[in-house]
Amino acid sequence: MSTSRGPAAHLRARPEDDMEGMERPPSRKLRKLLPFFAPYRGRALLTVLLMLVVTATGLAGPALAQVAIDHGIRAGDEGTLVAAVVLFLAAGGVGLVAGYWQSYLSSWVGERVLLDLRTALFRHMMRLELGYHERVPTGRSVSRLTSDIEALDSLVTEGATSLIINGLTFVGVVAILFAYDWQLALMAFAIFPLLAVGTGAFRVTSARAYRRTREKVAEVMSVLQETLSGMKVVQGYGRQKPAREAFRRANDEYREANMQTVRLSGLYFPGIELLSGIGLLLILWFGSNRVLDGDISIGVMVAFIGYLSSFFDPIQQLSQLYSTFQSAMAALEKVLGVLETEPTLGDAPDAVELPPMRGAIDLTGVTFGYRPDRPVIHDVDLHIGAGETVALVGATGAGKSTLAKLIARFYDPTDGTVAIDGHDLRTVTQASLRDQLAIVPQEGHLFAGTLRENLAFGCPGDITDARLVSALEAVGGDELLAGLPEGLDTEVTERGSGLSAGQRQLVAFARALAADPRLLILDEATSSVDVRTEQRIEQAMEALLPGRTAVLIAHRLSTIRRADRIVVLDQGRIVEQGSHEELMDLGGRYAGLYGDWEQATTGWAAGTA
Amino acid sequence: MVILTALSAAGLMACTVTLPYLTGRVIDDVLRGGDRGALTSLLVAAAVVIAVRFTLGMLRRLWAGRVSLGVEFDLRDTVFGHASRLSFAYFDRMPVGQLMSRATSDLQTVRFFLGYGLVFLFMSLFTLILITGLLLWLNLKLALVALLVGPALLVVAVRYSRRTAPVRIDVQQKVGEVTQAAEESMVGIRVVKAFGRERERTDRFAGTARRAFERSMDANRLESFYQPLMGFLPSAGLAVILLYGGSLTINGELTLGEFVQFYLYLTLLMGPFRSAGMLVGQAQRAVAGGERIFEIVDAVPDVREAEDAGPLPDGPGEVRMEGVSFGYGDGRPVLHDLDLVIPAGTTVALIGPTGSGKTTLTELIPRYYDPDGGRVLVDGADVATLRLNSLRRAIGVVSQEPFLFSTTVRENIAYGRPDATDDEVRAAARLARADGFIEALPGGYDTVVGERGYTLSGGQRQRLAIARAVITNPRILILDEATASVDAGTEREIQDALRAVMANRTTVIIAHRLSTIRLADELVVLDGGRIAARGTHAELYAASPLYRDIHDGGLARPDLVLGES
Repeated sequence: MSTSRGPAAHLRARPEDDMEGMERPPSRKLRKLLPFFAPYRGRALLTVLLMLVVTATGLAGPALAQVAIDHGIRAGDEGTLVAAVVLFLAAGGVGLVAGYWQSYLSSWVGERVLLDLRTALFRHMMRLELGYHERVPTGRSVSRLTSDIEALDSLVTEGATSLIINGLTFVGVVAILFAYDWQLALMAFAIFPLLAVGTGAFRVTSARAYRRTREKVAEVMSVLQETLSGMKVVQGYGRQKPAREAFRRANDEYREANMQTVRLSGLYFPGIELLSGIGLLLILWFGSNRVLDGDISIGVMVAFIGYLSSFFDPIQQLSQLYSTFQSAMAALEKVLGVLETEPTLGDAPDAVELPPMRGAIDLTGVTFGYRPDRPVIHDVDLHIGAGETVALVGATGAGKSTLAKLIARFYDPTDGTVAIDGHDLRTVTQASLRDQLAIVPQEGHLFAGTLRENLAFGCPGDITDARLVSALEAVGGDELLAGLPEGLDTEVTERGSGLSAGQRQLVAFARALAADPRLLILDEATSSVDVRTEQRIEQAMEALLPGRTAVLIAHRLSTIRRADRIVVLDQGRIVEQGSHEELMDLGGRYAGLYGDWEQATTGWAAGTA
Repeated sequence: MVILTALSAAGLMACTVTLPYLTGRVIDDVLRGGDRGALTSLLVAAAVVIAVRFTLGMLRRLWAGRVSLGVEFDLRDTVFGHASRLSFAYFDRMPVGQLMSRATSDLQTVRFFLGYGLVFLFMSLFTLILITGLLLWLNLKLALVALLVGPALLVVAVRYSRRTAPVRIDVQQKVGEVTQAAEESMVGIRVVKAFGRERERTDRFAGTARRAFERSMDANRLESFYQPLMGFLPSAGLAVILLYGGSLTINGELTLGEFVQFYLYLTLLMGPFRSAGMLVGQAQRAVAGGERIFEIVDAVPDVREAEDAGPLPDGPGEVRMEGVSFGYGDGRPVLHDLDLVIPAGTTVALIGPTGSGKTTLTELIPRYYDPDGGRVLVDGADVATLRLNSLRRAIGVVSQEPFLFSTTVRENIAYGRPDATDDEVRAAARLARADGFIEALPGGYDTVVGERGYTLSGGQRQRLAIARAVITNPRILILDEATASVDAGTEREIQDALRAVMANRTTVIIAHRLSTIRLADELVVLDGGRIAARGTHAELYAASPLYRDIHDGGLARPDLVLGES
């Protein structure tokens, strides 16, 4: 099919889909993620249990140290001291083993869920109709599958663990301190409201600063990308200095934006330390008095000081998690956006298999627009007989490609029906239709893999090498095959393979021939070719066309003349049809085009065609 | 600034170390000594330390941040500046994506290490030395026992980073393969859909993603083993101190206050010990990133200005090649001992089969590449002796697929002469026969075009590039004709534009169209890097079989479509 993206595609969807800020609440989004966890809920549950163990063993340390100091050292009881230390070590050992399994399992569950999500996303994208892919730039789909999933990765694997362990630690510390001495605990927690307010304010302002930083770094990237891509022009016109100045400006703006985040965290994190220092002062002052009054022991006070850092650490960690969380949520929104896009061209519930085709095509009253309010095909009636070759001719935007796409059912008509052998295409399964048709696109796209895999791409079942080779030979690719050292096993990647555009085109022809379709749609490349290439293409057509229905989107006279019938399109309507001779006799549009062409190609010199 | 950062970090650590000392004093003097009066002064001292720590902490973060962002800025600026001096051969070899990732993600690893890792490392080292000293001073025996943990941790940390580093690199590789697999299927979606191969593609993608998952789990397994271990070792050390120090206290060799102090100091060491492994990993990544960055910065431009390079002398624009040989460095020579004179003011069309050296020949004139042998002269001056900007400003180049910047049409046309007036821009557009379609654009000359703007057709882009070239009024014009298919009417327009811009200039056209060679004063036929024939159409048609062959079969004619306009 043509690579043009439908009318006015360049006018919409230009701003990058930055959906941050206009999304649904995070809890609703996370709920959508839950089904992906369902298959692994056993492991997930085990992970959470292990987190409890890890947290508990971590918290046991200072408590056991308190026992050792109060009941062992101060009481002069070596037995208790040894017992406390053994327990201390045991807790550490249990923590070590539990820590290994917890860390392993939580990353396993997280990454496994993301693997499933990534695969589901890809499968869904494959199900979405061609129209979707023509609307959404390739780069955007790829970043859904890569960078957005990776943004979720840091949340699901590290973030969730950090959230649970730090949350549990926080709750545990509060409980332990209250159990020791509720008055001293109240005193220590007096700073909590300040902490909460400070953290909340930091969260909001830093989110803004981080977003600005992200925007600025994106700008640096795009200036960089553009200048590097256009470096030959920059150097050709000697504009290195202004280009560098423009880059320096973007670079500097990014630095400024980033400096704001540095300022904010420069205030916040020492602020947390300040509060923890105030907490220490309160414990020292109030605790000392209580020790002197005989209300608590020295060991309890030491334990309080020890736990104080366990109280502040989780809060710091959790607030650092917030920016991870935010970018993960933005990514999740985009991923869900794709997953929730319903394919508009699904099989009808009662769709039947299209029986083996004869290949008679009927378009009846077909009207179609990429946007319903702007039709590009108007009320077209066209009958193509089984085995007939039809060339669609017309200006860019006349509707040739669109008409071909309707026949392949890449789109459904807005009005009217497209039928093959009397079956309305909306009533048959897409698989049974696609199995019987082949398309040769303008540019031969090859997939990473061997030449064999690429040639057999359109053959649903097994196919022998001999048939692949004979397909390649039939379209004039014997030279190509002879030039490849490893024959069919040669790796032909998309870039840097050494296959020229023309050779890729040959492979695309052979691929279509190997599939042996009942219906062939051929979109001729629009780049000018010299006479030699034209001859090669003619040989390929010679092999491809006989014995099947063919629709050609034709640009070259040699191709057009090969058709049984020429259909001239103009602005989405059929204006003339007939054989070359009939249309020349008619003296209409086709004859006019032909006249222009003839005038341009003949004339000034001897030997010109 | 670096010194300030280091000083503030040192002060910060001193504050952090002072607090356990004061706590120990509170326990010994106030709680055990019963001196209630000392409590107030000790608390005031602690309050002062805490306030100082807050101030220093703020300054430390601010200064460290400024330094690291400054380093990032300078590095990126240097990379950019250097890249803009590198010659074309470098960009032929190095994909833009590679350069991008070096100037962004590699650079960030370096910045993270320099900005945060290094400060952290310094602080950790300082803490380690300070606390070790204090511990030794407090109690020699106990300190020696406690510090046994250190070497054990170091061994574990080094093993950890050695084992994970190669796995992590492999994980990156596998992740790259996922990206490639995704991109490939998305680009080829038409083919996938046409043959109904969605399921097969999904299976393949799932396989690639699964391999990335498995490799990533290998790395996670190592991490899951080493990280808890590195947390456990210091705890074990703590347990030993609790036991040994406890019995020393019971035996009266240590006061309780001293013991608590000792214990609290030791907990301060846990942080630096635990982060040792992380820091080693960060340093490794930074070194790898740095290497990749310096590969760019250290690259030497192939085409360099001579020390005593002078400006291009005035002249009518004569081009002369004397015995020029050239190859792209892969061992295959492209041009062989070629002699060619293009008289000033004439138009020469280069024709020949693909790979005959047409484009290469034109790229030697503005010195995009240096010939391996022979010399190229413009108006009598060897281009190797000229200042690059002076030479290139005199030559207008229009490539087959011209690159446009994402800015307005006006700025694109005025690219080589930013001070051009609106009238001059319009005049250049008129000369290139681009004024018609520009005025029909939604914003006229203010329409943003390029990758992030309005999409122009190939023929429109090329006419814009012609306008961009002629606005600088170059004495030599080099034009690589587009091969996009056009209808007869458009072809006529292009011919008109060419005729207008060629007047009074030396012009070299790489011709693909039959109609274009009609505009040339002389035709040069290249074959395998050598001049096979030259002359007028009539002379060549009579004398050169190769020319006859190309003329009759190898040149494009307009198509039978209403193409773009």
